[in-house]
Amino acid sequence: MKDEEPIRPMTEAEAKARKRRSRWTALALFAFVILIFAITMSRLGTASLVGSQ
Amino acid sequence: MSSLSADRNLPTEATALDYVRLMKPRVMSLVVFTALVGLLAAPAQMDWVTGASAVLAVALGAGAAGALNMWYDADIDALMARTVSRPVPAGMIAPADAQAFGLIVAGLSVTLMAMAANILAAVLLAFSIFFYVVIYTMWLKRSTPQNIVIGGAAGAFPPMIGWVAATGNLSVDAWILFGVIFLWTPPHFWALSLWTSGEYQRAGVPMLPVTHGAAETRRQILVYTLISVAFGLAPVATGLGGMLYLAVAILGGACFLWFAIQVYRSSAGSSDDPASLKPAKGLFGISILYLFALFMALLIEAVLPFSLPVGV
Repeated sequence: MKDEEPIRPMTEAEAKARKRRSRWTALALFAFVILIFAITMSRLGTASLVGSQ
Repeated sequence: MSSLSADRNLPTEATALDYVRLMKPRVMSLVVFTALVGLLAAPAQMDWVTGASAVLAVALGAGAAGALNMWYDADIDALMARTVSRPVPAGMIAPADAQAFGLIVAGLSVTLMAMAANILAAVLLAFSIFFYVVIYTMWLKRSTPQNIVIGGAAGAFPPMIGWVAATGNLSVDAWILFGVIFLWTPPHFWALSLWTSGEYQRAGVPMLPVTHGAAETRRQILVYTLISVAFGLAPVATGLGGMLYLAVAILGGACFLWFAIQVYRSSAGSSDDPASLKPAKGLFGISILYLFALFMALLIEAVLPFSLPVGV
C-alpha cells in the first residue's frame, strides 16, 4: 500500500496566488458566458433576417 | 520553487501569467494572424462577433495544444536551455495541472468554434490539436528526423480553419494557404536546429542535424526553401493573391532564398566558431518575416479596396 504523504499547510504566498488564480478563472468563465450569449444573439439576428426575406 | 513540489501536486505560487505562458503566446500570435488572414481573405462575409469568436477559438485551440505539448515534453524541456524556464519544467505548474488545463481549453475552443462558425471548422480545429499533440509531440518528435516535415502540418491548419469558418467549405485556396505554411516550416525550424542541435541530442530528440549531420541539414534547408518560395507564388495562380502579393512573394522569396544559399555555403552547425551560425540565425529571422509579409499582403488585399488582380 502506498504511503500517504502528509499535506503541508499552504504558505501565505501560495494562498494569495491561489486566490488570484481563482479570480482569473471566474473572470474567464464570466467572459465565456457573455461571449456565448453574444454569439447566440448574433445568430438569432441573422436567422430572423433570413426568415423575413 | 523546485520541480519536485510541482511533481507532487503540492500548492504552487503559479500566477495567471504562468498559465498564459503555458499556451505559448508567441506561437499563438502567429497562429491568430494566419487564421485571421484565412478568415478575411475568404470570399464570404461574417459579422464581427462571429469572426472574432472564430479567431478566439483558433487562439484557444493553439494555446491548448501548446499546454498539452508542454505537459508531455516536460522531461525533455528540462534538459534544454531554450525551454528549461517553461512553467512545467520550472516547477511553477504541475504536469497534471497543465494537462487538465490543456484538455479543458481544447474542449472550450472546439465548442466555441462549433457555436460561432460551423461544424467543419470545429472538426478541423479538433483535428489540428490532435495532430500537434498526438501525432507530432507524442509520436513523430521523438521517433523520426522527419518530425518537423510532417508535424509542420499542425501549424499550417490555422489559415485553413479561418477560411472554413468563413465559407463552410474547403476550397483549393484554403489548401494553398495550408501548403504555404506547411512547406515553409522545415527550413524555418531546421535553421533553428543548426544552433540548438547539441541540446536536441542531449534530450534524445532526433532532429535532422542530430541524425544526418549539419551538412545534410543545410542541403535540405536549401531544397525546401526553393520549393517553399516557388509554392509561395501559388495564390497568384488562383487569383487569391493580387499584384501586391506577387511583388511580396517575389522580393521576399528572393531574400529568403538568398539567406538559404548563404546557410548552404556556410559551416553552420559543423564548426565550433559561433560566427559560423550567423547565416542560420539570419535565415531563421528572415523566414518569419517572409511568412508574415506574405500573409500581410493577402490581408491588405482582402481588406483594402485598391488591390489589383494580376493580369489587369
